[in-house]
Amino acid sequence: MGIGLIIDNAGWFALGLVLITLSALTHPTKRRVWIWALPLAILVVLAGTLFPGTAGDYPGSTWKAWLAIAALAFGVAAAPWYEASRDRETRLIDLVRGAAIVLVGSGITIILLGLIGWEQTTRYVSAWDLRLAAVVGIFIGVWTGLTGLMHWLRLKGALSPNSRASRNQRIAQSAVLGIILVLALVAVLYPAFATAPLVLLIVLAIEWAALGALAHPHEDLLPTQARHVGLIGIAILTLGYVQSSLLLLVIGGLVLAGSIHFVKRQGAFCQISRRPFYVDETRDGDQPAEGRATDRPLNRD
Amino acid sequence: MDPTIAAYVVLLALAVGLTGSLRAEREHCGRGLLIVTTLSGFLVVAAVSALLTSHSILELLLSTIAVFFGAQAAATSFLLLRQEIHAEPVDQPDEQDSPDAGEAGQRRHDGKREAG
Repeated sequence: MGIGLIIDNAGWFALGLVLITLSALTHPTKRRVWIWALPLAILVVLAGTLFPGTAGDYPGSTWKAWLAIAALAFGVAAAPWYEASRDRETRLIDLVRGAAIVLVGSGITIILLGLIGWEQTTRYVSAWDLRLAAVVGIFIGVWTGLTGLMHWLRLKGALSPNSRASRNQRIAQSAVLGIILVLALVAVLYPAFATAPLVLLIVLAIEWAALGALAHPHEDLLPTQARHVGLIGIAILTLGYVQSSLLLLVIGGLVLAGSIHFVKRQGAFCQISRRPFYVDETRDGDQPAEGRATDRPLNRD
Repeated sequence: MDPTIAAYVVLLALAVGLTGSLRAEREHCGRGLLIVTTLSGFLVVAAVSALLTSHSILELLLSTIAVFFGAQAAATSFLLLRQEIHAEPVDQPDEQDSPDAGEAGQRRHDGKREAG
């Protein structure tokens, strides 16, 4: 039984749970206990994937399943556990920093999965679609992870943002993107000579993503991160295709749809809708000074 | 996987997301974004399946790191969503309508400023 089918066996239950939860959570009067259904759905699929491993259904996979459980536990423990209290005022900077951490974690995961996919598919010369998925995954992972890291460093005050890119800089960035696309094409079509183009692609993607993230205006950080959530959705789509899992395809489509929806409608957040966001706000400890309340807030309510 | 089936499934999911499940008032769009960010935690499932099917030590190492970071990202996005849901105005006392609650809210806000 393929791994995609193993994911999908439990995935049907998870997908039903996810769809019910989506309709419940987007309705403002529904009880908020429904948020627990989302991690439950992920846990259902994880249990469905890991159980054949712990039961020893694949040869030699029992200890891999336990290794996965340990990595999961360490990862969850390493997350920043915010106090979710209705009395605590959350500022936009907390939200943007949290989203930056999500982008960094997801970006690293996507890069590594892309590299694993590349390593597994270079053996099959005819599998150009799998190589394409791997290269797309590596590029999206580098772009997303670097953008998250740059945003996080900017909010820590370790990096100061560039001014908006000039016309020549934008042309140069477009040229670099063109070179990246050519290198990706070469790597996909000629796997025998792919190592050098792939390394160059990663280096150029790092430069491209870092310069792009530095030039984002401070007030556009969240919409940019929303766009990257859409890119994560595309990465999940490619992973679903590679692993033949319909569940991952559907989830990727939903993530992409949510990101498009947010970017198109300039969505607002309840937790920050009454709180000002200052253009020069960079650190956790920054408190707005008196008289600055007239500064332009980010949320456009 | 057959690319045609994959394309159909993706289009269907996109249509469901754009027209049905994720549509909301503008005020709740942010919640929708955090919901799909939490859904992107399904990346960790792909990472776990890559770990289970790894053939070499290198793949095993890379996929273990991928599972770690995927789990961290998934937990962080869930915590952000929880924070957003707990900040819903429905759950808060209406500060405009009730003078007591409004004063209390103002005092809390002032106290925070002084503390800062």
